[in-house]
Amino acid sequence: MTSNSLSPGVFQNRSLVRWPAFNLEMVLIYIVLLLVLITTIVPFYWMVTTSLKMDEAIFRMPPDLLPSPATINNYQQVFDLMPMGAALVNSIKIAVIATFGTLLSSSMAAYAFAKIKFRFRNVLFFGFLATMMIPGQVTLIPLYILFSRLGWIDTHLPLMVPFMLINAYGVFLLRQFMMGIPDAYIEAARLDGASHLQIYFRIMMPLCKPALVTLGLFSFLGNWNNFLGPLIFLNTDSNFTVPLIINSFRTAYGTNWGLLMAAACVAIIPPLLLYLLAQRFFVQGVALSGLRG
Amino acid sequence: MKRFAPRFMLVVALLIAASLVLSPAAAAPARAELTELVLPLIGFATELPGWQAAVAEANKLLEPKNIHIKTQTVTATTWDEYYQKVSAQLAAGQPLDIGRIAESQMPTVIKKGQAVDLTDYIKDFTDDQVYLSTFKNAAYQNSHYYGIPSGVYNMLLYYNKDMFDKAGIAYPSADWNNGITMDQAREYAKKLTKGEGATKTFGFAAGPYMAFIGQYAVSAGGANVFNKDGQCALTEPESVAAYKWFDSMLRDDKSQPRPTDTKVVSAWDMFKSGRLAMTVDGTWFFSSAKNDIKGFKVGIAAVPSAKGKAYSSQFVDSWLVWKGTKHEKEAWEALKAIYSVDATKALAKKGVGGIPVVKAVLEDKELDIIGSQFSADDKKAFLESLNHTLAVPYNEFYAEADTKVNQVMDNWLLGTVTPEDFAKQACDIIAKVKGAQK
Repeated sequence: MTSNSLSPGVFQNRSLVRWPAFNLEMVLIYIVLLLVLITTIVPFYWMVTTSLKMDEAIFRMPPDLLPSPATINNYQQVFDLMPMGAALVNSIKIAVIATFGTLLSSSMAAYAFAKIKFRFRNVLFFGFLATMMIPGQVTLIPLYILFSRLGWIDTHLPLMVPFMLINAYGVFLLRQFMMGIPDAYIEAARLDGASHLQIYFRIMMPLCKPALVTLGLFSFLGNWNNFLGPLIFLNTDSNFTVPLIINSFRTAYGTNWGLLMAAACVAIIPPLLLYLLAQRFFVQGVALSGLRG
Repeated sequence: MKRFAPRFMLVVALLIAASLVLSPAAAAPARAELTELVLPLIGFATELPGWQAAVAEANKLLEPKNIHIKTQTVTATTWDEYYQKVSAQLAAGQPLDIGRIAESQMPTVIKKGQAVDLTDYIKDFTDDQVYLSTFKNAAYQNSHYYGIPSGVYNMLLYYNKDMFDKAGIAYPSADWNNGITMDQAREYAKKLTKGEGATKTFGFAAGPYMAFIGQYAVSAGGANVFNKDGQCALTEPESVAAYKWFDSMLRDDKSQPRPTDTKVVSAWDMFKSGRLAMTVDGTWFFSSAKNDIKGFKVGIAAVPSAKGKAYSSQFVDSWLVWKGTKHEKEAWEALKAIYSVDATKALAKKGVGGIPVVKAVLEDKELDIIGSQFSADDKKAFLESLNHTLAVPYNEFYAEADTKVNQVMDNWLLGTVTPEDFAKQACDIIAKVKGAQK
């Protein structure tokens, strides 16, 4: 008997080896989860492998499961053909500024709607929510005329300023969260002589961290993926954002899949990093603000 | 607690300042001494560097004249989208000076009075410099020129030499006066079709669109979409025979991929991956055939024809001067600079823009536009195709009719209607669109 062998008695003792009881329900759940996992992973896998394939190997049948030979040529071309570097900087700049603006304006409005009592508060809030029902496309032409008169066309201002000033969804999300914070905190601060601004910054903001992170993530992703706004308002390719660059790999003569997938891989890096960093708060924020389905 | 108010004000001020300072508008330099001409270019990533290189060369020539071309990139995936966006910009009073647009859009541009009449300016060009014959395309109407060619695209038969070698079939002819017939192409396609399902390799693919059907119908002695009276000719025997030829390969031989096969993987992608033996497509894919395909040898031949004499549909995109420009003369100077040998060479080096119309560039042996990997026969087929081009009969209702005909084409390609019924439907659509525009 080798030193690695175990005495038969170890396995005979049932209390040491705990086999899970066969549970049909659990098996079915795992099968469904596995199928969902596959449908989620396969497009992602296809995107990454396609970005590393030579052009002629992309639609080879049977397909190569791994790129052979793997090439980074598509990535090089994405940066050579279009100003992808500038687009990344532009997208990050727009998404970050618009997100911080959204967080600031939405949280202040939410605080007012949740914690300050004033006449017509609910009417005003529902009127505010009603703006969420208007599709963005409807306001595009008036906005274009407005921004054109302001001299903002082909600048990033139309993509940041409106989001910094108003975001009904953000106000709704944060108001829901703030409603759950006991008024006792605010009353105690008032007794200490704190103003609304001080209560907002010192008490509400730290308590709303999960909801702020959630809204920040939604806002960042919304601005990062915004295609229609840049399409309408930007003309110079050095001002372009990432979605416009990705779209440029589709032409009247066909789609350049290798370049498109390489650009898509580059484009997901910043949101992916952000999600990984904010994951803990994100789950908490979604759960506590009642957004969970 | 009072220190929070200034801190809050600081955050707000910083956000606003950052958005204003980081905005490109704030950094835009004023160049009042220059005449700056705005050129909106369609934003196809694979082509933009070529056009921008040509504009950069043109700008060097324009510098002493105090003229500068500023390009704008119009994000669009089709020429229809590009034209819509440019039209909206013109309507909104945006200052656009020069442009480049597909031939299919030119009749509408001219009809709407959006292009400057360049007839008097064109006298600056001589036949020694440029191929003047190419100037007579959809941009030439009622003896007036509203655009000048930015390059010529036309149709070729691309084939996979390795697949032909393996099947022991002789290569299709490079001679446009004695090319392979449509019947021969069908036979070759049948022999070259192998396998089933996802791994199937097809023998032949081509689009039976209005812009391409003429090359087959004319080779049989028929008309190119419209007959001499200007009526729809798609129901005439020569056009119907061409549709039936496609139908036989789709349904009887199954040697041509159906729309369901090409929905995601286009015919050109199939060809590149070695799953298609022959494809009739435009010179817009020539650069891809030259640079992207490494796994097999690509051949070029004459487009199949009814009797041997082959035709190649031709597409001539145009440079134009947008009406409403405040700098018409400078705009013409800019177009002349874009037509210079240096600018055209810069474009050709990137393999963009189709066949150049500037003679010195096309004839430049060092530049070797076609590429050394192609055989003498392939080169001959490529160059001779220019003597067999067939202008697509674009008119002011063509683009709209074409879109609507394409919408019903799948019914035929998927076997719901016969080729004859489809041809009738197409003519009905053309008549309706023509009637509505009148």
